[in-house]
Amino acid sequence: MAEKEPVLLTILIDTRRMRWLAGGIGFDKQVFPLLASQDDDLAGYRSMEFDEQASFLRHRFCGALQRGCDRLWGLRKKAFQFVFLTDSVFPGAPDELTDRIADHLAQWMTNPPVVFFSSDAGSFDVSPVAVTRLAGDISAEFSTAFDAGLPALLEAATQTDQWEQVPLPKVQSR
Amino acid sequence: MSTGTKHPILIVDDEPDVLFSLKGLLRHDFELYTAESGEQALEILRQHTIHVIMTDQRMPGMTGAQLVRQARTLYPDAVLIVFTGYADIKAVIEAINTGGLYRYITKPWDPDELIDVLQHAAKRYDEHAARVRFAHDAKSFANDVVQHVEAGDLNGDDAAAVKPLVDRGRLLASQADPFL
Repeated sequence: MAEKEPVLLTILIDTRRMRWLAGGIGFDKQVFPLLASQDDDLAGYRSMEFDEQASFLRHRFCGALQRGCDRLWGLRKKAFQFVFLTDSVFPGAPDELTDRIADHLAQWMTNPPVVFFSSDAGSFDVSPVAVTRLAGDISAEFSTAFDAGLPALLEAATQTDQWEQVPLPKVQSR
Repeated sequence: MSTGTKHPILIVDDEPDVLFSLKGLLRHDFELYTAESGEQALEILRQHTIHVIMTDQRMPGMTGAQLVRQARTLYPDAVLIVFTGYADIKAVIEAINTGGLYRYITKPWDPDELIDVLQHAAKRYDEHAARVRFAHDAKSFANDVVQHVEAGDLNGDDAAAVKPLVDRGRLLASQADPFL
């Protein structure tokens, strides 16, 4: 199996538009916009009970990670760390939902590991974005790469044409 | 039964872009069939011999575990794999309790590792098929020996009657070791 270039597979969670974006951050400030869901891709949780909300969002995010890993494979790259960054807590739900999702992903995924951040400003509109770690771990080396690449990834997030658009599912899964 | 060199595998997922991505990953190594629902999958299974079935657990309508239960009964030779997102405990329990699963795979998987898993699953199919063929051949041989003995056909002096059976017996004996 040929060696693959290591990257941080980063999932940006845009709660204002209820969408996610999956991109890669390399170790040389390179960023790789990969996929973006349509608006309201994540909105289905709002009509559910708490446990189902958590299950629904975990499923959506695992799908985002899977698509990201598949796209990286095509670029001969591999995720050595999963990073989640949400602009805010999930609206229309108990505050602990965000922590529940963060904890679950960080505890269950170990290869590669997950770290889950939240933007201190409650949005991605400020620059630079200061983040707080909600769950999981990241090494100093990966953290440095993340800090260096994040501004460019967030800038790319404002440009639709840089991302492969992921269609909404036909029917929200139960 | 497939006459090509690639194993036919069926991937089931309600999200078309996931199927599209898997097609890109797997098309060189396998003869690929895809379905967006359990019902579509069963229709494909009615029309084609499939060696490995890999299905998402969480789908609207028929879940992966429900599909696997039906497939296990109707197509017992197929190797069965279920995948779902990490930590979806209810899905894990349902899939495992289905029984007869070769593997349970969590999303996200490493694409290279997924190819390995599917190749091992295909190899398991081949091993099972070889066991079944051997068992059929052994049974057929035993039945023929019994028939000849009961008919009084076998006579040590009658080489023309005895030799074919001896040859078949020796062949089966030479093939038996992998199954012991």
